[in-house]
Amino acid sequence: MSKAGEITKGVIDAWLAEHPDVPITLIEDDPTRLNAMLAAGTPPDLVRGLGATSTANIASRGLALDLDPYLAKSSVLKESELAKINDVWRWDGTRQGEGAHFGLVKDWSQDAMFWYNVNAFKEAGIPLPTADKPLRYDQLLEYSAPMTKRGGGKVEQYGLFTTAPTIEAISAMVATTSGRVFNDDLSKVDFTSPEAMRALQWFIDVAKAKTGYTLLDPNPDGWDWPPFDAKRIAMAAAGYWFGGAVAQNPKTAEFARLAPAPMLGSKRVSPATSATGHWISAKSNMKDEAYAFLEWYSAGAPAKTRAQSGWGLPAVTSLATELPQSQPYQSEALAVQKNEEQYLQVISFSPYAQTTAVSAAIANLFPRAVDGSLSAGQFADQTTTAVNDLLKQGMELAGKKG
Amino acid sequence: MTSLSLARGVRRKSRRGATGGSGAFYAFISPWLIGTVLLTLFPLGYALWISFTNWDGISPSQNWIGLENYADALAEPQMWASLQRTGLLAVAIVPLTICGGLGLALLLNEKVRWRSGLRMLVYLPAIVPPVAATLTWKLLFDRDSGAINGFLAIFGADAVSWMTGNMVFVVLLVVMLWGIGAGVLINLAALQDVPTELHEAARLDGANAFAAFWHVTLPSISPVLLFQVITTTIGVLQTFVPALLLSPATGPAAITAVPEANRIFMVDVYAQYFAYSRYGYASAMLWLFFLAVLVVTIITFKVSGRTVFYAVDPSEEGKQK
Repeated sequence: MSKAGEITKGVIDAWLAEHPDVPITLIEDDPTRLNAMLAAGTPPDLVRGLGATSTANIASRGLALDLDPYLAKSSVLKESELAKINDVWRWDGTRQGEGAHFGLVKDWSQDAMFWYNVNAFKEAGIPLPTADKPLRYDQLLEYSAPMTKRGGGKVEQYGLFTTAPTIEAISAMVATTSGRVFNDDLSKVDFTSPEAMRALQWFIDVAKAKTGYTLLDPNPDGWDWPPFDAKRIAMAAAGYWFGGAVAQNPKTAEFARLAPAPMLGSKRVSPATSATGHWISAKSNMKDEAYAFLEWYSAGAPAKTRAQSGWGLPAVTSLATELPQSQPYQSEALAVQKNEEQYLQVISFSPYAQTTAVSAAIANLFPRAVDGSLSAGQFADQTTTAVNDLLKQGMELAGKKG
Repeated sequence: MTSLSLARGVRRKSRRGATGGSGAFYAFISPWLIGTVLLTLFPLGYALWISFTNWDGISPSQNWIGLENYADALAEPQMWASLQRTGLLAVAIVPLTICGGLGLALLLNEKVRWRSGLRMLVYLPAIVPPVAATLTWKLLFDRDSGAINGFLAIFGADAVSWMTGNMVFVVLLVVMLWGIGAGVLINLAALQDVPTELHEAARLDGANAFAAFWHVTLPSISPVLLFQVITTTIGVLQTFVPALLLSPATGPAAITAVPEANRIFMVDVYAQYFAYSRYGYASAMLWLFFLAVLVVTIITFKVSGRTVFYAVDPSEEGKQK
């Protein structure tokens, strides 16, 4: 189960040319269908997933296959060749980032980074972000105001990228204060800590300032490329992979530049909140074949082609030299990215609830925090309770006391 | 003796005939029966079982928790809020669809120029796929680039944020009323079935156009209107796709990003299933909803007993045969 735009017909044909005895039936990536297939006990052999947020969940429930024995005996892909990002697919039973691998990254980026329109920054007289000096979140909010242009009630350009108080975004922000949202055993969250409150308050302030798309003024395109390309937003929330989209329009390539992850606190942390890849179902009847495809797709010829396109960073270190550098924006983005990699950190998410559910619980209360019917403190309190209820339910199912 | 044997023979033959007839009857309806058992009764029963557990859809264990999900659902303000929004949607859509459809049908039943073309134009939106229609409306209502705000700007009005706050509920209403043409077609067929002699008799009795409509047309088509009230009500109560498509997000995130004003019951149920993984709770919600719809349907039938007129009394139909 993956995306037809990623496991293309060309990829399948190339695989079949080498492995005519291992046919591939592609099921389009669909979480609802995956749930149904898991519930029926007939999951797909290989499943696309976001390693950063799903590993704890699928590994702790025994849904995903431990890949370490395969890595140990593989002649194609050695564990030492894996980029550090593959650690997000590791789970030791209590902590993400350690233990066995339960999936492999396809391509990745550090997702708290953002792209910006050089011209919009210059017009507003705002200094350009540099690789070694990231902006602070309060600076982002401040700078977004003069870059936001309105006329006749319509927004001609927003200064800030699209924001939403997701658990991934809040965790990334809190990490820069050396804090955490989840407790040690990942059984509870606390949004009432001063650090988490600062993060929540920032999202509320952005929604009130109306200097970017938010949950209350959603991005009609669903992602930041179309409005960034059309100069309707001066910043786009995306990591290195966005460069693949920028390559489609030479005019956008002239003004698009990559910036390091902003900071809420004083510690530089730049996590990957997706680390998209694939895992093999523990119930698969074709585990060996699924692994053969997985390592070929993640580290073989298709991975080399993807690296050359700039749609993300490769999962193996040997392919790093394939990343595009022919255009100024590409070489500058790569330089920023290389510097940023030292701040990559795995943030553990709980195995007891899906991140979509946690983020939905936060989003449910967010409008009331913005319109003032809930104070920031009440918002933090009620969100903490709602999310902890979800986690408690997940723990009960896992046979643990909530 | 002979006559008795004959009588027995006739009775036997008759029984065989009846058996053969019922066999054919069951053979013909068996695909439907099998489908109902496998695709309706079994899922209903399975959902009922799940509703008594705290299953999350993927965990191997299912803990029996009795009526806890039902108690939680009834005590959950969010469930009542979504039910209230669904009720509001039904209160708005059902009368507008029925009355609007009837009004348009009355107009299109008149002998006017280009009548066929007009009928086609009115019915056309009903055959546009709902997904395409909803996404088109979403583009039209976009705050910054939509045609609706473009039109309002001609009169100097500021752009309206249609897709947020309570305004998105208005967009949902528009999307759902867009397909009114289907009702028009049914009403048109019913109007053409009203006996012309009844209208002539009314005219001879001095009835004006309104009186003829009220005392002749409306009673004559009342069974068709009742059919539409019930099917439209059930359809509106089950509304899901338009609300989901009007969500600002796409893909898996769409369900949790549905604006609060559009979080109707089915959106809430779907979110409980697939965003929150609360299969037991969502199943309990569905069973409560099923019972509520059943009650609404029974009340509608009871109330309609005094206002719907049948050319043949349904209760007498069997006796005549």
